[in-house]
Amino acid sequence: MEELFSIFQYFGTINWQMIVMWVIGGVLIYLAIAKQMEPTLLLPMGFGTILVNLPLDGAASEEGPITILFNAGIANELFPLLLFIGIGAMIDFEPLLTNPKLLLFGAAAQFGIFITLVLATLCGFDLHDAASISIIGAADGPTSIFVANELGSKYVGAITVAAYSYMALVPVIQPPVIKLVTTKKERRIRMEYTGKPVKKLTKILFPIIVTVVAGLFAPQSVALVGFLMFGNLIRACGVLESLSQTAQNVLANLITILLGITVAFQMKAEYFLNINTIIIIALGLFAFVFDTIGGVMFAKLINLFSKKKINPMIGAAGISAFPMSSRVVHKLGLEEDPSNFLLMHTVGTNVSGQIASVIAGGLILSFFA
Amino acid sequence: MKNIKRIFSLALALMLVAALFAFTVSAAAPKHEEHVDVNGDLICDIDGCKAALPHTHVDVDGDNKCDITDCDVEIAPTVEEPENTIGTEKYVPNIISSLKMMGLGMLGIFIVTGIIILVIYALSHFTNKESKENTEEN
Repeated sequence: MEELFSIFQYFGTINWQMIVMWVIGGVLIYLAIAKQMEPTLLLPMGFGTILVNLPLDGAASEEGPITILFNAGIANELFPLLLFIGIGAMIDFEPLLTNPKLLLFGAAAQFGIFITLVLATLCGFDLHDAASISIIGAADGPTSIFVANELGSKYVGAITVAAYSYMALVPVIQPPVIKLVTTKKERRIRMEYTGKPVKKLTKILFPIIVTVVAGLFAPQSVALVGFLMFGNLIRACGVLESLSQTAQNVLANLITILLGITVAFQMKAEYFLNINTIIIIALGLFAFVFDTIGGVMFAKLINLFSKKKINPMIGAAGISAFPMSSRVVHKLGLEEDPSNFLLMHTVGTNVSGQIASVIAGGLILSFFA
Repeated sequence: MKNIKRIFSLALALMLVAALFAFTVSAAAPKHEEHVDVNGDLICDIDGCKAALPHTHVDVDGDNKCDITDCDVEIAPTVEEPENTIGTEKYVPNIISSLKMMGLGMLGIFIVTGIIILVIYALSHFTNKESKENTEEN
């Protein structure tokens, strides 16, 4: 009989915090499957959350596989960087190279990061944690993980969940904010697209030059920019098609699987279940809203001095959530005027956001690391 | 969609039932109030228990290793938990620093992107010029 009861010996170690974390894990899995919100990451994270909140630390004990993976891939920032190779290989910078000025909108749309830094400090977070939280506004999962980890934040789990959740919620968050800060007339502004062909040499030199510039002016960003641009160089060179496909598909998928389940290491109840997590989730939303406002307001500012008016909505596509944000803004343009095609401009701004968010991450690191 | 919702509701319900069952069983399971280690071998000496008892690692000499005999477990150096700074003397300087970083950050990002834009224009100009020259030569 005692042997029978010994089967249940660990049941006594279950506490309410574990059960709450199982429910959170279940909700993440539900959102991933039923709502298709960033399923590639939320599903492994949801499962990982359940896995690390089982008796005896589940799989995240001192010698557990999640701990080993965490030390091998996240504590040393390897996984986010490898994922960046895949992302770089997925991005076509041609719309940006056709109209390089769009990069300024990418820069303006990082406003949410810096305003959130101030707000997080006002909320009482110390500067390193505030900087880690603010990077949710980069709208870029790997950058958020990289920066938060580099700054030694203990809120990596909450930051990652917020970053990926809001990225998935871009179609819900951005339209009302854009409508709030623009008029109907502004949303109807048409923009011509002069799609000049971009030379292959430009496409090849672009990633190399961006890496060098970022390395010279924001050295802390060079790992992020460098891996992103390396992936893009594989794509742009035209002679490594098989490597490019591998980076875009196999490598990105493999790293995403490991990253998702490993980030869950930070989803242990003792780290996650506190009031700060709720504040971080709220601050993340604030960052996304002010990214959008920053981009739109910058476009309005440009319109004050420019003869050729810009549709201010394209500024909102300057966040890094690619290609979701460009689609959302394009769709909003079509809602106002069914013959107004903004897609190429929004895609250009969106890829600018990818570069700008990485540079912003580097700047944050250079200030605080 | 309805099926997925049902599955999740069912999973959630099962989870809660399992937890409830666990608590009931563990409460019913024979157990003693506290483990007792009489001979100091870190194993409970109550009959039939033999549970391995944890000990608190102690690092007296500060070499980040437990100083208890036969235990060389590495102890991570104690890290001060970052606290909420509201009301502390750090609070105002932190806000001033964050405002400064906001200004510098936005300025920095526009400078770096501005330089990249100039480089792209120069690059496009150079490559277009070269291809024109090649076309003319042909």
